[in-house]
Amino acid sequence: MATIKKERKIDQATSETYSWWGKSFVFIKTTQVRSFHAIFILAFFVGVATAFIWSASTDLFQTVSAAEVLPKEKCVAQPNGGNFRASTTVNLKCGSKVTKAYYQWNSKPAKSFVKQIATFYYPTEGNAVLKVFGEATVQKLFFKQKVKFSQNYVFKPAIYSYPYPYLGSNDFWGRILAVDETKQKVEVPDKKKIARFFSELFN
Amino acid sequence: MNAKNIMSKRVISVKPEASISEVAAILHGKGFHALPVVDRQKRLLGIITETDLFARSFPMIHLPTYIDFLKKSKLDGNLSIKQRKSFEKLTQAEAKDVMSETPFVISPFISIEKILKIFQKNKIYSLPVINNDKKVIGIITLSDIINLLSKKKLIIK
Repeated sequence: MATIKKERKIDQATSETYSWWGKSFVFIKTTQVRSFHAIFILAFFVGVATAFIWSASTDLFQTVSAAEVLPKEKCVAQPNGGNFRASTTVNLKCGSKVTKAYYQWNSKPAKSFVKQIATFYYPTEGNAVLKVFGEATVQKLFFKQKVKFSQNYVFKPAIYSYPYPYLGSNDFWGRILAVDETKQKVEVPDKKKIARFFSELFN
Repeated sequence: MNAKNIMSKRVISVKPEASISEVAAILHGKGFHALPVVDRQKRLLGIITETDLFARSFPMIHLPTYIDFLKKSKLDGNLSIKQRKSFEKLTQAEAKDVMSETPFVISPFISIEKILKIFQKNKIYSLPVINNDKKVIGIITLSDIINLLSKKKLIIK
């Protein structure tokens, strides 16, 4: 075009407006930086929320465990206080309220089922298996969750040879007790555990 | 073969009062390189190319975008009289403010070889074809000639 390099009136107006418009341009850039920060902050909170949900869905902050909770109220479980023999299966399911089942050995109350098994020697048949299973309601960080539990206890021949003072037969017997979780105090999550989790997450 | 044989007879043009955003929309939407500006009698007043839509003092400023931005920025409330004048001049700009007033034009009887030379020499892509009354009767673009060459309807000596 013949007039390609000639400055037009509109070009003069552009030069004039561009001179004072520069100040506003700085403001717009600042706004963009702020929104950029906002996105990061938002992403941070989304990350924290995701971490909470994830941790709650796992056993990280599980507050009820076998060793910590003592029975306060008993409910009927199967078998209902009767004797049972080695190599048997015991269903501890006691409705949906059962938190944890406890085993009472030889009419003498044990502190906990797990501890009882670990501490004493049982005059049982070699490799006899006690299978304990059931369903429990477990308190997670924010909600309760139904979980199924199952545990096998094998009584080895080495243990069999050890003379046990209370029983003279190859049978072992006991009673199954269960805990009604609805009347238990809900425990507070371990704060140290939570602090450690977040420090590991963000470091 | 001359211009009359290959020109596009349906010419899309704009009036001098058309806004710059309208011009930009047509150029972009139709994929044109240039748009003739005509009066009510279809007489050629000028031509707007894609290059004309950029500020000559600031080549990085695309005028339709810049004007649109200024309109939306609502800056006019805090401007001095001088600033307001240039602001309004810019936001109310029309096709006649950006068009090239002395474009290259050709008659319908000019040969293809000459048209090609005009394209080559002046590095342009479109040529309005006008009659004796300066009315636009067609337009020839470089792609029209390339089409002919590809179809072997045209042999250049």
